[in-house]
Amino acid sequence: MNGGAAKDGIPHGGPHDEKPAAPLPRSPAVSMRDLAETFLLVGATSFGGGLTGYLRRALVVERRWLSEEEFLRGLSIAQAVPGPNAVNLAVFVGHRFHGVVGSLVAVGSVFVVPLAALSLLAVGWARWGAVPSVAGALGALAAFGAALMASTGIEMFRAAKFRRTELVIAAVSFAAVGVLRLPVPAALAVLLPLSIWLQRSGSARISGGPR
Amino acid sequence: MNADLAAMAVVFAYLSLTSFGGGNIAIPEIQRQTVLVHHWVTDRQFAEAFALSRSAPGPSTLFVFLVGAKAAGWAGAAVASLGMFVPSATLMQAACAGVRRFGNHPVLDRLLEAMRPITIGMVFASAYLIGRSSVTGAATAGVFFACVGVLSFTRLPILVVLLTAAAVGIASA
Repeated sequence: MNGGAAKDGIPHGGPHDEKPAAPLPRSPAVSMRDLAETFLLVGATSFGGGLTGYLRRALVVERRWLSEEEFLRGLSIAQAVPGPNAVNLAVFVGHRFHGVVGSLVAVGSVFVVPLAALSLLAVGWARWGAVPSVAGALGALAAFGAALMASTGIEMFRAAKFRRTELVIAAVSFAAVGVLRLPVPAALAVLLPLSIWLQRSGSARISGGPR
Repeated sequence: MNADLAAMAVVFAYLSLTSFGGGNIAIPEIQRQTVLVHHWVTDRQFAEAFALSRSAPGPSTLFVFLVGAKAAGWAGAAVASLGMFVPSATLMQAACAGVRRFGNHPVLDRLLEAMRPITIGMVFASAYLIGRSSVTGAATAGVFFACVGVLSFTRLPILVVLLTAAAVGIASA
């Protein structure tokens, strides 16, 4: 399970030489308690997914703990590492201010209220799930859940401004995983290299990193 | 039961470590493993777990708590949640330590760019998989299309849409 931790060949245990330009210019001192309170609050108020957006608003806009740039850097790392982006982002922020313990505090805090809410839901679901009116509500809720997912896709799609090759990749990805039910890792193993290759060959307007 | 819990721990750890691109991309594989491969929950229960979890705040992937609960009670809920979050969060720890040394890499940006169309395809795959088991008649189809419209083209709070959908469900039960 944690054998994968060595994935990046990160030497562990040694002191991190050259810590990057320590705290940000105007970054306030963020205490452990600040971390816990903020992540507890975000965890409790982030309805409807999109936790990443809630985190950005709380950390960059309202509290100014992170610059926009630092937040985006954290987000790209969070996306590159497997696991839910928002949770990875919480690890990043906690780690940024208080190392491993800070990341445990951040992640732990963000989960407190959602877990309590889900526990209540689990009890209610087990007890009343078969009552006709509840079953009716559940059926409609499930349709709502599918709709929420579809609208997330539509939103991402509108923001992405795809070229034709990217549209094909998206369609193949949908068909492979949704219709053919291929395992996601297998689909990724084929589609990701293909997507990178197409990105290069159709390069014209790839906004890569700084050259 | 215990063998089941052990299997769940392994499967969710696998899901955790293979969910590149975040929670959205994980859903089809979570569904495949828990419904198709291991039969821990039915198609319908999976869709309900996902939908119910939308009325709680927090990371969307946390719906595995309800999947685990349906499959094996509290122990199942704990195993599914820990399995889903601990391995990837541990990796992220390591990555954070690494980034302090290496900084950001342009290759990372290109990788994420290449991931985007794949992710969107899988988001629609998730919608399709959940929709297939939940849209069972005229009423649920109506709820589905109405919700897609409202969620995509208005700024109505998600919780309001969710409660309205539930009310329609009760009324048409």
